[in-house]
Amino acid sequence: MQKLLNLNRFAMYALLVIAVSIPLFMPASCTTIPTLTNSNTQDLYIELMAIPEGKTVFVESDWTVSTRGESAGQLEAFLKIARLKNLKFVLFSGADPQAPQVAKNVIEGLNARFEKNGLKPLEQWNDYIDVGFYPDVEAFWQTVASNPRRVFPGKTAYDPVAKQDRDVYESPVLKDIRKTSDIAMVVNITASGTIDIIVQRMSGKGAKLAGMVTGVMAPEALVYYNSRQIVGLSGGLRGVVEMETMMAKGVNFSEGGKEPFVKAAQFDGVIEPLPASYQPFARGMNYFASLHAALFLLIIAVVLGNVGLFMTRKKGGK
Amino acid sequence: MLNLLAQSTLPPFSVEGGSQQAYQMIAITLIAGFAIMAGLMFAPTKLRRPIAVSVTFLAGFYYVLLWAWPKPVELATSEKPLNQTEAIGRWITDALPGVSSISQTLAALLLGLGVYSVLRLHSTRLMKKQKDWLFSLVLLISMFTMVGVGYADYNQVIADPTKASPSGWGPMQYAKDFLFDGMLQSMDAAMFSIIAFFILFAAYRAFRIRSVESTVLLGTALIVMFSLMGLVEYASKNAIDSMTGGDPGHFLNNFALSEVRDWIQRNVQGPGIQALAWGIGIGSLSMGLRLWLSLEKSGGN
Repeated sequence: MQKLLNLNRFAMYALLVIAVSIPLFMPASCTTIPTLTNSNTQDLYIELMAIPEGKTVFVESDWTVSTRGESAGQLEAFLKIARLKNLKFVLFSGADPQAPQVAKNVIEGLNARFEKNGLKPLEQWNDYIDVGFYPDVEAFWQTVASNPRRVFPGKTAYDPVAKQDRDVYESPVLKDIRKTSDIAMVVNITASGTIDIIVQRMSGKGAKLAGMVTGVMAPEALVYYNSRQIVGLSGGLRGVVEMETMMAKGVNFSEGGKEPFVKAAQFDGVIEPLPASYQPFARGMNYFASLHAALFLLIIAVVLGNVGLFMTRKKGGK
Repeated sequence: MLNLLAQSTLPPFSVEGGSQQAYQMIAITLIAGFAIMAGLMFAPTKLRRPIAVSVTFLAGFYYVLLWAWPKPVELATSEKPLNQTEAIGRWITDALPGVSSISQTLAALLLGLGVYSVLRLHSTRLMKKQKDWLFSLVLLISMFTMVGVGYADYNQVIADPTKASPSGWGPMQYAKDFLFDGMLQSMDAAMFSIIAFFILFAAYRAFRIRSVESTVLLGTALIVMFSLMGLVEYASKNAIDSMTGGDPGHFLNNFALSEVRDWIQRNVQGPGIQALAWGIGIGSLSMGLRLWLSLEKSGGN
């Protein structure tokens, strides 16, 4: 029994590597896991799909490749909805100087897939504006809350039609933004606590707030969802899988007389699945089996440790 | 001064970004900055603290005014303020983008300070051939290569915006992609993934039933971990549905894994986090006040 209390550390590490790696090499059909959707993710998806076409969203992307498994899937989910609904967005970062480039790489990768599937790629100036990194994100949001027309003074971006740099406020993305209520939504894709700052500065200013956060940050962000300070929340890899499930199967959408796979009791309408040209919806699902394996191993390790402790105590008691 | 901060009209030193004049302005500002720093260094010791205290107080006082001073609602730019209170309120609001820009610049300078610190530390180690100087050499070479390639790529994209998209990439863009995405980001992700190993071993060693509290903690953690596994949650829902015949009002629905998890999150985890946030908020307020009023003396007086 003493052995159970002192399992070899390297054997556990090797087991983890094997357990996490195997699902990555299996065909997608073997690793597709049916997943229920939580109300917080449902609300995020419903709110995003309800934004009128052509409206502008502010996207603060605060993650780097360390959390790619979760955050890249969340950004991709947003970008697909943006393409479908022809939403404009302002992209910037406030937590890490590397974050703007990482987000741009995701857009480039997704654009290649869009073009392959016959969709129009997301174009800088017409569809989005990348305004870069803001080291003092509190001051940034304070200014947005005060006057969004004066947040990017002197900032220019390349206009592919005029073939020259122009003021970002002349772009289709920002030209109609006069006050905070003109911003359709603020979405924070984050691996840190930046959603706190957005809630502090932007609550009650007329723009809807939403979060797409890592699993570690989800419990904290959930507090804001429960108090309705944010309209929706996607948390961790599970959140990505839920978003993709809704993209693939719709919301309250029944096919062939079957029960809808995603039932949202709080929503009266029906959202159809995204067109096939937006597939695959497997950015999160590709890693979900690995997450299952890791969690299962974690639970087994905890159980083994406690069984060992229990047996040792029993033996000692005798 | 008020108009200058509020930038109601463009200040006289405003020039086009990237122009010759802009570089001249940067050079003048740097020289002026060094002159002020030198002036402060040679200032009498007794004078230094009042200067630092005054600057800190003024900087903080702006944000206090921004929060507390009555602001005119929806006052159009063409409208004139009715009285002095409204005029000051309008100035405070108008000055925010200018103050915010100063704040962004200061925060960005902190990054530069970090770079300077790394450079100083590792170049000293390299020059004196101290222990592990080879690692310092690798660090400095990597740093300069990344800066050089990144800057060259930036300049090329500015000159030819078609190089921003992968279809127009040249050698420098490929080099930057290899260095940033291929190496730096991959190594970053590899370092981060090490946490999984630590978590596994820490959970095995620490999650032991030693007391009532640890038993409650372990039970709660297991429920939350199981609920993160979509498959387990889905199976639990199906099992409950088969017992209740799909009746949403049945009592047994309360024991579905998702319901138990939601209960824990709403009634245990959420309030716990809120209580913590409340405490941290009070602490931050108290610390902010002490810093603003320069009551913190731990840095030496």
